[in-house]
Amino acid sequence: MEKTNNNLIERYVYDVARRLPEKDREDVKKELRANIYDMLPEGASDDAVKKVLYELGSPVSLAEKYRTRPRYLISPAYFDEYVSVLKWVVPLVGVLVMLIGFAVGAFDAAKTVSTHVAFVISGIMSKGVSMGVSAAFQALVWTTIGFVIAEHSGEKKPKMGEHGWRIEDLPEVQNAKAGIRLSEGIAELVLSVVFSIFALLFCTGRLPFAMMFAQGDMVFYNIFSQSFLNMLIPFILVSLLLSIVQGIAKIKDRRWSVFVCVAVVVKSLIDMALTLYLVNQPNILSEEFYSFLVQTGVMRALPSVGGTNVLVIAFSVLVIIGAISETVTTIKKTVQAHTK
Amino acid sequence: MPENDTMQNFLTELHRGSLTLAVLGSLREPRYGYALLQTLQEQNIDIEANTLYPLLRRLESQELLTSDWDTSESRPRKYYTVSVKGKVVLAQLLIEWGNMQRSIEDICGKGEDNGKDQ
Repeated sequence: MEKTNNNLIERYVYDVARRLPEKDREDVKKELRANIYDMLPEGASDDAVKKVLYELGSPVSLAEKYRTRPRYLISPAYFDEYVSVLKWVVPLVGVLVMLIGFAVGAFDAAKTVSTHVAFVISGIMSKGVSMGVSAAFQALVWTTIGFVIAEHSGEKKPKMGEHGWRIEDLPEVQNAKAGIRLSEGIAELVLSVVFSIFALLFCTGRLPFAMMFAQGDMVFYNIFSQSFLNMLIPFILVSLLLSIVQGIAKIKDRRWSVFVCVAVVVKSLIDMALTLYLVNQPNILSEEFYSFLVQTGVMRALPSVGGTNVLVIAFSVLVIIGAISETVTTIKKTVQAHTK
Repeated sequence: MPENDTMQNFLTELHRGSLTLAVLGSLREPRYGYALLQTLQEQNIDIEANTLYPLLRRLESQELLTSDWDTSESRPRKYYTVSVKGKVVLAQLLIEWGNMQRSIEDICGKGEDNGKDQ
């Protein structure tokens, strides 16, 4: 009987000690063992031992009380920052990689001869979703690892100023309306990437896009000349890059910050310049389509001003007005957000 | 019962700081862990073994207590005594304890007034 008693006590003491730092283990074992035997009469029964052990509580909670410092993976000093980084990194990485997945799926689908629409779409979707989900998990894991390393490398944040914080660092009170919704940033990102993918597929001739024209019977024309389409590709890529920067800015800041404002303004002005340049290229239309327009008399109906087609001029004016109005509203929103 | 839990939390919080005083005060003469536990419980100090033993270890590591293993008897026992540093700390804590008690009494009124007014 004494032996089983010993065994229970030893097991309890061991279970407490193994949860403590190695240097404390032997001392705690010795103390705890002595204390437990003191609480028991000589030759106590198993039940008496169990009662005392239950009184001491679970080894986990007792070890917790012996520990002088609470253990954290990420301490409260870092936790707020950790959560706020996760909040934008995980959706951003997830969505971006999902879009890349869509692109990969689309190119895969374009390579195969299969034109079964359902098959192509499901391929694109599953590629995008699986890549997006795994990337979101990766982002979660690596962000966590980063913070754990910061926590345990002992490089605590240097305290600023004599009080450990500064009044100047307090954020401005945010007007709820001045914020940018997460969905806005993500939706813009998704739309621009999807649009760019289709545009690229179109330009490289991977998508069988053609304009259909009914003229008595059905005739197919390529609207744009291939030389123009080839030229378009770098422009699409630049515009896509700017959209991604703008999307990241909106997802990260979620308010009309200077960063968001600059990203939006730069994007709309560069987009405007690119569009104006492209619209004024000479050989936009394919020869077949051009001759079709000439035949039907459309070209004659549209006068030229100084050698430039009236349609091109009208379109250019619209582009300029659009870009300027977006720039003005963006700056206005940013100024409003900063003055309130 | 959540209400009892809340009450228990208030009491635990209130007791926490005073336990150090009770332990330091009781160890002006050497005592081993279980004997100290019994002494405190006889004095109606609400303390459990699983709180006291870790507390003793912490106070010892903070050099407020000194300890000695007595191996002369069949059961080895660790005897704790308050150190010089511990005595200084205890004296300061007792002054603060008195101040706090006066402040609380000034704010809440003496014990006998409580309850009657409401």
